Amino acid sequence: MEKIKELAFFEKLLNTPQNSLVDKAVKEGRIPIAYNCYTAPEALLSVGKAFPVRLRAPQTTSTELATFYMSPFTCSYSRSILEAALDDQYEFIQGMVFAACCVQIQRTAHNYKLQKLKGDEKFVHYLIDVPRKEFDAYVPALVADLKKLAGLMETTYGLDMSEENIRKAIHEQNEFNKLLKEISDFRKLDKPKITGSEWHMVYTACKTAPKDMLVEPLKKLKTALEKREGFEAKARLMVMGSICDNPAYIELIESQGCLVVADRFCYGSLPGMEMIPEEGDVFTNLALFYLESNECPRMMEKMEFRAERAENYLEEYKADGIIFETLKFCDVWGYEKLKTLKILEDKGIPCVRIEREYALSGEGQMKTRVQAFIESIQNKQLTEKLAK
Amino acid sequence: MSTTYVCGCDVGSTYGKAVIMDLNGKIVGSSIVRSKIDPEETSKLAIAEATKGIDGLSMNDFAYLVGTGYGRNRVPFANENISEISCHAMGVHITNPAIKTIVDIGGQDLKGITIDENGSVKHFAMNDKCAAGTGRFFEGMARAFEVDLQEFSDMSLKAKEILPITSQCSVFAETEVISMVAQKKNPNDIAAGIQASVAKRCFTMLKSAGIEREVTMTGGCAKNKGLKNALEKILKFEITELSTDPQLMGALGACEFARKKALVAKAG
Repeated sequence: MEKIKELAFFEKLLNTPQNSLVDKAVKEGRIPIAYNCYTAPEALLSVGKAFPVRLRAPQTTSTELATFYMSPFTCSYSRSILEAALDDQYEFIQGMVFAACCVQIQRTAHNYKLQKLKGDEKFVHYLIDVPRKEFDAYVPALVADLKKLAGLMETTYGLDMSEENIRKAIHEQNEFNKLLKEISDFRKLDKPKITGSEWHMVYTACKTAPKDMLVEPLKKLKTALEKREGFEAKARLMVMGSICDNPAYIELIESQGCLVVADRFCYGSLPGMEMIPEEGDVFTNLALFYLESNECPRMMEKMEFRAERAENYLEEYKADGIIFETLKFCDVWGYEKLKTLKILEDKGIPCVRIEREYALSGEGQMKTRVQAFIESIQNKQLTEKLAK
Repeated sequence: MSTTYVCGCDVGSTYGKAVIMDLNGKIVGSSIVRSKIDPEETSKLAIAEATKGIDGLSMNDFAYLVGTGYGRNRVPFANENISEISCHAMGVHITNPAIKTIVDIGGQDLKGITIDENGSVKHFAMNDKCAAGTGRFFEGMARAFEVDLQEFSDMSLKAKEILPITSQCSVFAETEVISMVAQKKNPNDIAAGIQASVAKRCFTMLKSAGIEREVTMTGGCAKNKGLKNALEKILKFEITELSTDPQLMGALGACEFARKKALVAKAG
C-alpha cells in the first residue's frame, strides 16, 4: 500500500530530540521541559510558554559513559537517556521532570543532575514521587508534590501557574487527545487504515514537540487516512511491555506479515488518550487521573485489573495475540512477565516473550520469533476452524 | 516443472541442509553442506547436493520449495519461507509423533520448542543475542583443546570429575579453558564442565518452553554425545534419539510443509 505523504512530517520529528518544531518553539522564547513517563502530567508542563518533550535517545546506539556512571545492570533505556544527555543532545531543555516510575530512571535523574547541572541555572529538576498504590491517603501527598512542581515552574520561569491557566492546559490536552483518538480508532477497523509502525511514529512524534504545532498536521493526516484503503494481515497483534519509542521495532514486527493494532507498552497509547476531568480542583484532578488511569506494573495490587484491561484491549482492537517485550534489567515489566502475563497465558491467549535492548538490535532473531509466533497463531486458528 | 518432488531447504548460519521428498512423503535425497557467506549460494549448494542421483531434477524444478533457517528468505525459487521453529517442530513430528519437546541447538542459536499433536508449535523459547551454548560456542571450545568437534564431544564421556566453567560467554569461557589447560587440569574433566554448563542452559530453555516428555535434540549439536549425556543427567530421563539425522529436521519439516502445499495445489 502507498506511503502517505502526511506521515513524512511526523517521521522527521523523530530523528533527533532537538527537532525542527522544538527549534522553532525555542526561538519563539518557549520553554522545553523534558519528562520521562506517562505519570508526569503533560498538562502541567504545557502551561503558558512551557511545553513537554518526552525523553528519547534516537541517536544513541552505545552507552559507554552512562554504563560507567550507572552500572551495566540497569536497563538500556535509562542508560541511553543519560548517554544522550552527556552527548549534549538535550542541551536545549530548560527543565527535567521525572516521575519516579522505577529506581533505574531515578538514577538517570540523579546522574543528570550531578553531571550536567551546575546549581546556579534557571533549571527545574524535579522528581515526582508518584505513589505505588492507589490509596486515598496518598492523594494529598501527590497533590502537594504537583503543587510544589507548579510553584517551582512559577518562580524559575516566571510562568503564571494559576488554576485558570492549568485548567486551560488540561482542556487543550483533552482536545488534542480527542483528535489523536480519532486517528487511533482507524486501528480498530477490520481493515485498519494505519499500520502499527505508522501509528507509533505519529504518537511518539506527538510527545516530542509543542502540541499546538501538531494539530494541523494531525488533521491533514486524519483526512488522508479517511480516504485510504485498509490493510489486511496474517494476524493482528498487541505489543505489551517495556518502553519502546522507536517505530522501527514495530516495523520489524510487521515485516513478518502481521499488523500491530494495539500498543500497551511504555510510550504507547494504551492508556494515553483519556480525558482528564476539567471541573473541580485541578491538582486533585491531575493526581487522581494519573493514579487511576495508569496501567503501569509499578502499581502494586492491580495485577488483575491490568490483565483485565489487556483482555479488553485484545477484544476492542480484535488482536489475535500478544508480543510481550521487556528490556533487559527492566524490573517492573520483568515482574509483570511473571504475574500478569501468566494470567493471560492461562486464559489461552497466544503470547510470546521477547527480551530486547533499547537500541534496535538482534533483528534476525526477533524476526524468527515473530514469524514463528504468527505461524503458531495461524495453525491454532486453522485447527479451530477444522474442529468446527 | 516436476510434479513429483518437493524440497525443504534450511539455510543455517554454519550449515545448509536440504531434503527432497516425493509426494508420498518418501525422502529421496538430502544434503548437509558448510554455509557460505552468502545464504543464496549456500542454498544452491545444498539443493544441488541433494538432487545428485535424481535424474533430470534441477533446483528450479520442484512442485513446491520451502526455505527455512536464518537465510530462509534468500532461497532462490522458493515458493515461501517458514520459520525454523515451525519447521523443526514439523520435522520431528513426522519422524516421531511421540515427541512433545525439542531442544534445537544450531550454529548460533538455542531453542526450546513444545509441539502439539498436529506438529504445530505450542510454545517456544530462544536465546537472545548471545551465542553461548550454541554450535559456535562448541567450535571455540574444540579450538581451545586443538581437537575437532567429534573428538571434543566424546571427551567428556571419559571424564572422572566435572570441572565447573564459570562463564557462559564464548569469549570468556575460551579464556577460562585455556587457563585451566595451562594449569594441567585433565582436558576430559574440563570438557565435562563445558558440557554441563551448556546442558544447564538447554534445561532453562526447555523449562521456559514448558517441557513435556518425550524430549529430543535437533540441530548439529544433537550429535554431541557429551552434551546429550550431560542434559540427560539434569533431566533425569533419557532423551529420545531420532531415526533420521537430527541436523536435517529443519529441512525435513520445511519439505513436509512443501509436500502438503503441493498436494493442496494438486487437488485444486
